[in-house]
Amino acid sequence: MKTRLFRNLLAFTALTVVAHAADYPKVIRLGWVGNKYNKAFTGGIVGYAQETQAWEKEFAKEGIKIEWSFFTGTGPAINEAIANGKIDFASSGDLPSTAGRANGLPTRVIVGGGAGGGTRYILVGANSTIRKPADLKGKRITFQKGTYAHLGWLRYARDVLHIDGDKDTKIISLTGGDQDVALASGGADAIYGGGLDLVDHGVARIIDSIQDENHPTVALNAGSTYTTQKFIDKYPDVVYRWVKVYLQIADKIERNDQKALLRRLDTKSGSALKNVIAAEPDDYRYSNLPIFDDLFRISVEKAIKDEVTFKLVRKPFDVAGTWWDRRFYDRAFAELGLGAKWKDVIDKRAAKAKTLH
Amino acid sequence: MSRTKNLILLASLALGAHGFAQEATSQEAPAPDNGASAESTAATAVDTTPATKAELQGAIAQILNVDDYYNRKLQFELPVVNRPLTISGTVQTRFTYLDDHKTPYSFSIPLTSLSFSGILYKDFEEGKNLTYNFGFSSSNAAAPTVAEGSIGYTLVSSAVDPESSTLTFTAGQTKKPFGLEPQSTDEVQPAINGSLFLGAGAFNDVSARDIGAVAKADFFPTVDNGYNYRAPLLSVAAGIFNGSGPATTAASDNNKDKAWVVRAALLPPVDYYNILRGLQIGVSFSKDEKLLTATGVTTPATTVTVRGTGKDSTKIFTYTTVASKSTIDTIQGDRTRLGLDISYIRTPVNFAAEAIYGTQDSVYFDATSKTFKSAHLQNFGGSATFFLNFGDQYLKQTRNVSRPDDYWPVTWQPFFRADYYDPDINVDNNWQGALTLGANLFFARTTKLQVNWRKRLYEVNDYTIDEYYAQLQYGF
Repeated sequence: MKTRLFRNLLAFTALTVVAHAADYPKVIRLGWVGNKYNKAFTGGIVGYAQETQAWEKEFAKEGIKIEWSFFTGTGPAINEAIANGKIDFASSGDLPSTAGRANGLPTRVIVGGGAGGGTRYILVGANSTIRKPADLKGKRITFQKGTYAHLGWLRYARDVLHIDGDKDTKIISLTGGDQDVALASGGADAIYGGGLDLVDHGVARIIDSIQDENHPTVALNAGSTYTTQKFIDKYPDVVYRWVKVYLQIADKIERNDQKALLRRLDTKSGSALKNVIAAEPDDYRYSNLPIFDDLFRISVEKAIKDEVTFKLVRKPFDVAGTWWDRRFYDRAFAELGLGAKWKDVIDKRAAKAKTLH
Repeated sequence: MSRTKNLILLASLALGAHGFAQEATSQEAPAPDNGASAESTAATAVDTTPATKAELQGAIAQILNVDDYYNRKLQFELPVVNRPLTISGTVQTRFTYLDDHKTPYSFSIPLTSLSFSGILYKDFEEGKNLTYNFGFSSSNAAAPTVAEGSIGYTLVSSAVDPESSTLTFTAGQTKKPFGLEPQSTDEVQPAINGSLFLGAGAFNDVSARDIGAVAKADFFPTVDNGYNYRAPLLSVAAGIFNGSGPATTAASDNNKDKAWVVRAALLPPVDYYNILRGLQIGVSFSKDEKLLTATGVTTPATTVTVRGTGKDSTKIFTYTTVASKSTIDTIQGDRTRLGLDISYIRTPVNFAAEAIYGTQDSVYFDATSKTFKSAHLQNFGGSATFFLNFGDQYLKQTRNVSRPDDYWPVTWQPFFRADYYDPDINVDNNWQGALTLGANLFFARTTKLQVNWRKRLYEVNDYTIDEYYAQLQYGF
């Protein structure tokens, strides 16, 4: 333990020296997942940071600008942008983030993950003959390949329907808005991960919902927030300050008494308040506080294992040892005293992690 | 009737929203944020105060105004088409200065094009779509001609399953599947002028459109789910064309056995982030036989009068000479082309090169023997382009972001290209070449400013000409 502490101190001493010597970037480029309404907003911690210009203020004294991009191509588009050096910080779902890393993308996860707990829906047409999940066998299922929904569907098919999601159904890869059109026009029989707006419009009805309580192996959350190794090497101080702001906001807003605020942030991306409420977790703190722990590690490792099984990625890789770079998080976490503040959630997650072994 | 239904619907929604607002108020009264700062005050919570009846009536009135507005637009202002339609066009406005001491600098419009494309039948389930493509183009004062007029059918699609092979058929006037540059967009061809050999006499039909049918297929795709990236190991295209150029009629088609064109391209089976992604090696072959014509020097039949000699010296003789040859001769001439190309398109570093070798029969009138003769020409041409991309123009996913404004990232594209063309490799000192240095600036989604300096090299008479071009290319 002392050795580890010493190593961390040594590393941060070195980082501090480098940080003082390094130039600051002129702009910090953030890439986040877009939404089907094509609105340049996101919810949660980053949505709050965007709205309050938290990072803009943090880096104002160095004259660093913050550039926001919300990619309509979601996770795969973020990977393309990272691979071509177009963004510095990003977040994406389990499949795109791990598939990118598995194929050599030099990302480093710098913030822990939430435990999940929201609800996702499988929708069928309002007049569909599909009455129960088992009826989905042989049907046309639409989602965007390469996203969290891709892995989610294959898990759902395996664990709930006990079929091969690739072979026993016809997958139609479409982006969010096109999924709605395909379902409404009869071009697809079901949407995996569809929004409730379609239900409100009378176009669709829910055939199943996915939550930790009813489908725990499907509902596992393993999305990651990351930067690049190059950015860390060049601007370690910027990475640390970025992470610290992230954790400060998480501590401030991811609370059950901040539901109204979180809902308002979520509705800015175009979803109706009613549907935001329907899909929200029961416990915001448990679901969304970003924590590096066994639960997050196991969730990511399980995602990678399933992706290899489903032949979505070719080979597994070391998560905690080489992909995660916890130095910035651990320092900020300690400075903000989050260990004590988040103890109840940390304990609850540790208990959950034991059930996943 | 429509308005009544709308009102009923809106009233229902309003009542639902009213009820929901009340429910939200009673259930979700937010506790005070003890740690609230100036920031959290700015990002204030949802206002859950119930809407009044007057406010709801106001909202209904606003929605009805929008309803009226769009109904009018639909009836009186929006065009109607029978099938899905995309209209697009491209215009080039060019400034040219040739430093040859005789050609004045000038402005021109070397290209205006208008095209219509869409889907005649959309197969949601398997992507077996039936498509059409139709368009005109014109250069400067020339009358517009049909550039594209084709129908396509996708028999095997990768739209639904990216890991599937593909097979498409196209019939009509379209591009011939030969070479790299003729198949490429400006992603691979950054210069204002196309490669020299494509405009040269021996190969000037290679990039021209023609009438016929093409089948295209690809096999063994590598799919990287992390990037929506698909790279087929092998792409093959085969077509049969008139070989006589665009807008050919049966009367003007002089190609007896048609032109056969085949192309194959290989892509390495690697993921998106692999250093070999973007590498392509292609080979093309075409063969056709066409009627070749030549104009000779004709000695026509004439009446000649001469005075006799000796005892006939008082007589006048008249006779008629025999014509030496008709003015035109035709032969069946073979024409073959073999093309090789290699490209590495991996932003920001890009390289493309291709070479073409051709054999071509020709016919000519030999003035010495006063007979028509045929010759077997061998031609060669090639080009190599190195270019850089600084920007998002060709990152297909990265450039699509949610923005409230008309955002488009600026992209710089400097390049260098070398060209070579030899009309007959059996004749010495007759090759031509060109060195082109230039840059493109994409400053809007479909608009770019291009500046090129090209040095033309002529081995015949051993001279060079500096050419300067500036062009705005814009489209919609």
